[in-house]
Amino acid sequence: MNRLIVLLSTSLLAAACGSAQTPVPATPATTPAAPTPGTPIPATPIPTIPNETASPAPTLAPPPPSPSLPPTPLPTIGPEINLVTHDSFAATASVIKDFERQTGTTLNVLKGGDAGTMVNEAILTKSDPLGDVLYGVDNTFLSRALDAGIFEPYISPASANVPATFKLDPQDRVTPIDYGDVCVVYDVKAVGSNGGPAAPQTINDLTNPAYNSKLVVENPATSSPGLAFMLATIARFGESGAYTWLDYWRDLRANGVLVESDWNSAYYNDFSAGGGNGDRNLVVSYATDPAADVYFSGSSRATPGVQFLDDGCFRQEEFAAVLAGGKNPAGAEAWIDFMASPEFQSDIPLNMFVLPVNPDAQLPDLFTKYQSQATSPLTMDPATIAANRDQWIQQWTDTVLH
Amino acid sequence: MPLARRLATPALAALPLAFLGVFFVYPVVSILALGLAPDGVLDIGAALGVLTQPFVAEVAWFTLWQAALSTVLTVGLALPGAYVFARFEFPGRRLISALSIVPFVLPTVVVAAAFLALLGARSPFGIRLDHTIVAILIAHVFYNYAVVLRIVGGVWSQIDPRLEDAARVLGASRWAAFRMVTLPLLRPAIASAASIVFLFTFTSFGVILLLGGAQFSTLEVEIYRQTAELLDLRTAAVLALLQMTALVVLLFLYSRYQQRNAIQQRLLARQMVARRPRTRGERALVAANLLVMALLLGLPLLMLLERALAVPGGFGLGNFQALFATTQLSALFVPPIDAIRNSLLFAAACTLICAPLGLAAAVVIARGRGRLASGFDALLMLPLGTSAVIVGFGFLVALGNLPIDLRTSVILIPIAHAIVALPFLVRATVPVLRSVDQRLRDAAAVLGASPARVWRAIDLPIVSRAALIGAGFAFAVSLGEFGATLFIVRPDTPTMPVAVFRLLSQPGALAFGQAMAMAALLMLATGASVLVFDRLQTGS
Amino acid sequence: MLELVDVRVAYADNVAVDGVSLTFGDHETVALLGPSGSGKSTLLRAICGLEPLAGGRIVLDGRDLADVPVHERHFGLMFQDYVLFPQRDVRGNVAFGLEMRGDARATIERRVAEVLALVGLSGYGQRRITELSGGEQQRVGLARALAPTPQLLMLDEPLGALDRALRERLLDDLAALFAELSLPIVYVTHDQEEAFTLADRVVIMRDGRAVATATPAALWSCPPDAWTANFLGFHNVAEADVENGIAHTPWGDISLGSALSGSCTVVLRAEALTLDPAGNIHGTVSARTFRGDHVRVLVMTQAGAPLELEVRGGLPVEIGQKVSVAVDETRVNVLH
Repeated sequence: MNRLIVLLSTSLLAAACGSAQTPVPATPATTPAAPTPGTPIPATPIPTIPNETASPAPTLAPPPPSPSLPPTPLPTIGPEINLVTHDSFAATASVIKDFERQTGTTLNVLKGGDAGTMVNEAILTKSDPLGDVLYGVDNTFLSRALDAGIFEPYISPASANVPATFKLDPQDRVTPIDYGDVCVVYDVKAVGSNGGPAAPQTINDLTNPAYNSKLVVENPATSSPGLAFMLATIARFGESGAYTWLDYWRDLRANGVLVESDWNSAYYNDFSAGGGNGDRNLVVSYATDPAADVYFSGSSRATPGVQFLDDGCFRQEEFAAVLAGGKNPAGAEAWIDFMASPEFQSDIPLNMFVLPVNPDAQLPDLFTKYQSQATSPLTMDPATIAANRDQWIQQWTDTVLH
Repeated sequence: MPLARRLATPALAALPLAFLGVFFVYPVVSILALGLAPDGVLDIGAALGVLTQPFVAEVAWFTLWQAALSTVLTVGLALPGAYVFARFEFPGRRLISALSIVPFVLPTVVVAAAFLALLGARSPFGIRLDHTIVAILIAHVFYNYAVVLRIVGGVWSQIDPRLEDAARVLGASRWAAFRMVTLPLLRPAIASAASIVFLFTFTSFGVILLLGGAQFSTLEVEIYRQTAELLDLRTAAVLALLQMTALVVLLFLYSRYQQRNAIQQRLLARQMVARRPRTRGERALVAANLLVMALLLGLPLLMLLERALAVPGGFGLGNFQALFATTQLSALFVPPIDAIRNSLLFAAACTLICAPLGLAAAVVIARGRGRLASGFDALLMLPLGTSAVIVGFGFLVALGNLPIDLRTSVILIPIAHAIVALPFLVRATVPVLRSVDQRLRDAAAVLGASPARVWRAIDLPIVSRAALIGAGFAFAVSLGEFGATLFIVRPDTPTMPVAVFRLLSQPGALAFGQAMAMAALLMLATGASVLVFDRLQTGS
Repeated sequence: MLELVDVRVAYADNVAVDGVSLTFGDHETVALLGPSGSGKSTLLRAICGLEPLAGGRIVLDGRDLADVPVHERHFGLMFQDYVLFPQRDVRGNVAFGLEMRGDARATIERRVAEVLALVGLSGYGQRRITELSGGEQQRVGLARALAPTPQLLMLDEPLGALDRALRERLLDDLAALFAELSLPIVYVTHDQEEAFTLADRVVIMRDGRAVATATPAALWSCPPDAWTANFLGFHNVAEADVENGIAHTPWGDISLGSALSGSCTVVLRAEALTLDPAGNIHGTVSARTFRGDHVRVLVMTQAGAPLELEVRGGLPVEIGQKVSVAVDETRVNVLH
């Protein structure tokens, strides 16, 4: 009997060893970069000079440094690049393979929880970083990360075309990659039709009795969209004056707002257009939800089942940065460059449902056909966020939960 | 005592101690030190300052009473079940017993979805219990029923029913016979199971967050917030210490209680004890208990299946087909086969790590008398009472200092699972070890068997059954990827729960359906693996 | 007086007790003797009330026990492997029945001491069960059953778990004890030596039925049928046709000394057979076993069937030796 267990276990382990997930081995550096077959998004090689698309290069070389920096000797990119990112990172396999082929490296993706947890983990391991490059630090955590000094300053030359509004760090220590707007999303079958309340026009409307017990939000202490919405209300109503953000939340509470711990619960359990069991018709979610809804419904839906309220949206932005003290800084830079390049940027929307910052990226039709971003989103300086976040969360908790 | 004998116990203890020392004590102490002594100097004043904040008392009290209540409810509901499963044979008994572990394994996201389908806004029964303490309690019972069922049931099935017969003939009513004869013999197992249930409900995280909502907060939830989100390591450390202290005290008392109350008895094989229900009363009891289990354990699982099979226009296998389709070209799209394989591999690795360590630890605890054994016992249980975030972050801080940097290695996952699963193995094995009749050992020794031979010949067969129950738990725990690995920075070897999480992070009803389909597969994988362990057990 | 009237105990898959009717006198020891599976232990449990009846009645002193629950019947039961309460010491075990009755502390202590003395275990009160030998545990089991002065004592193969020497000694002790107690005693066993030593009356049980009831002596001198004869250990049992007083048996023709005719079962008892050159059964010695006070000799007869003898004293026999066996017709059992 005991022998059976040992046999069973060792055979399982043997199977594991035999087929352990190994990253795709890199092709030798002299192979010309072949065009990638089959992807729906046209792939372009990494531009060596901004705005010029070069034909496939016969040799591989790391991109030359940006013209604005003094020329430095080209460091070799090590064979492995360790990317530290959050759980929502996703990219098309062929796109990643493109990068690996072009640079002759292997990309190891290390996932460390949600955005906030990931940053905290990076800060904790500052003296001995877990990887070479970090992607997914967003504007709400940017200052904390920068102040902790975990990054090696670098902004990709591929970001030269990116609008200045995205470059939130005046010292350009990080590279903007994507953005998305957190907005209130509602079920079109229940709101604005079928005898339900009319579609809200502003977030002030949400305090109307028409929306009593219809809104679900996330706890800013444990949820990124929750935090974004809270910041939006602070940006909109301010901390002083006749009607402060806390007054707004008091009104929301009086109007039966439900607080969930995370987006999953709010969307799938409580939102009526999510898992199908909920009775809340409005949820704090993302402006890309309508496009996503059509995309994930297969072919069964011609119009989105959800719509977002184009007011009180908060702009979230994600950055990539080189981790100070990593083993492969050149590789980190190469990866960031790739992330900022039109090839990767065009791949972002259908994988992560956020929008690329690079204006040269090609947006899938879905995202242009259905509005996927707010007209005038609210923003807040990362430094302000970092300085006040904890206190704001405490005030919010006292007002809404206690 | 010969030298070999004197060295045997410390040598056995060294194995699990070393494992826990490196992978638990060292990381936890590191992160706590970082929190309490950020500049190298222990700042007691600041720490006490945290303790005296009003929210700490609130949270601690809530954690305590919801855990106590959950434990009482679980034991109360599962004890009759343990009796029915121990004493009676009926069709499907093995299958149902194996399936009762399935809830234990499911990720809380999935369970929350199932319960909310049952008790939420669109409840088919019209009962609205979401975001209430009742939902939390019911979910706790759902999760932990199997612990009591199998641990207490396991021991109960080996108690001679003629003991109660003797008592009844001597003048005791049925109830008095149970209370005075069987219950004292069951008490160690009940205490053992109850302590595990208490531990899990005390450190409950997902259930509180997802079913209770934002207004309920336990110590574990607070620690998570402080560590992962706010990086306020001091508050986190203080709360973590508070949690650990409470549990250490409890465990210490429990362990002493067990030592003092261990009763040596001859244990019978289950086949000798169990029989089909004969009287109408017995049949009614079995039926009633099965009904309770069907409602409590079966309904939520059925809801899960229903969600998985729900496609536009009715029911079908569309979600499963979508899972296996390769329409998604994402580099990190999870082929279900990979996710299933990874889950099983990690579970197997975890069980392999746990088995020798757990058995060694169990022997040490069972043989030990006095404070040393109690302390060792408490140390083993400590990981269950330590916040997963603390352990995970502790890994980050401490493991970089080891000769091999394991911080981003995939091996960390089964190690983390093993730390959590170890107590189960030990808990299941110790009561049986303690009950083995010393005379049998003496008899063997007199016949010339060395202590090792004695152990192999006498204890091992009896103990192996209990060890298999514990190993089954360990396997199931690993499949469900409990707490610790949520906070480890891991390379992309997705397991089934991860696949579910990822699918749930994508908007759209189709993704939700696929998530439920994957969860259904997880259910099947668990059920199957538990059944395999069951078979191996009776094969012995 | 305990009366069993057509008692049946049946489960879904089999009938354990199939219509047993017996009476037990107030001062007699009755042994239920039979092979395993004959239903004797089940019958005992049914008398206690631990097994539900599928049919029939159990009547004690005229009162049907159907409505009397187990704990109110005031019977004493002793198990094969004692089944002592492991969490209690000797005193705790023996006192259990008295505690259930609600006796006063002093009464209990007195009675416990009394009963322990009765079974020869004075002073053992504080011992733990696990510290006792097999024989001591058995006595504790007995003491426990006797302490609450039951109106009927039942023992279910009480000596089954003991080694031979211990069993012999305890058998004598039990015989002496039973003589002292004037209780109805039901003693279940598969061992006929125990049954014959202890019982006033022996009931043979087979396949859930009582097939014979007689005193040990009667049973021994003339077993009622072939099966019982075999069970009691008679080896030379066979069917035979009798013509005019001559039985044509598988061992040869035997004169029965009476003018009988017809078919019957013949039991050649050991005391009926002697090695005698004048005997008219001839054969060859095929096996020989030393049995202490006699030698058991197996003779393969010319007629074909083996014959077992007990040879006391006399000349030793060798295997292969040709012998003749004489049959004392007065010591042959003829069963119909």
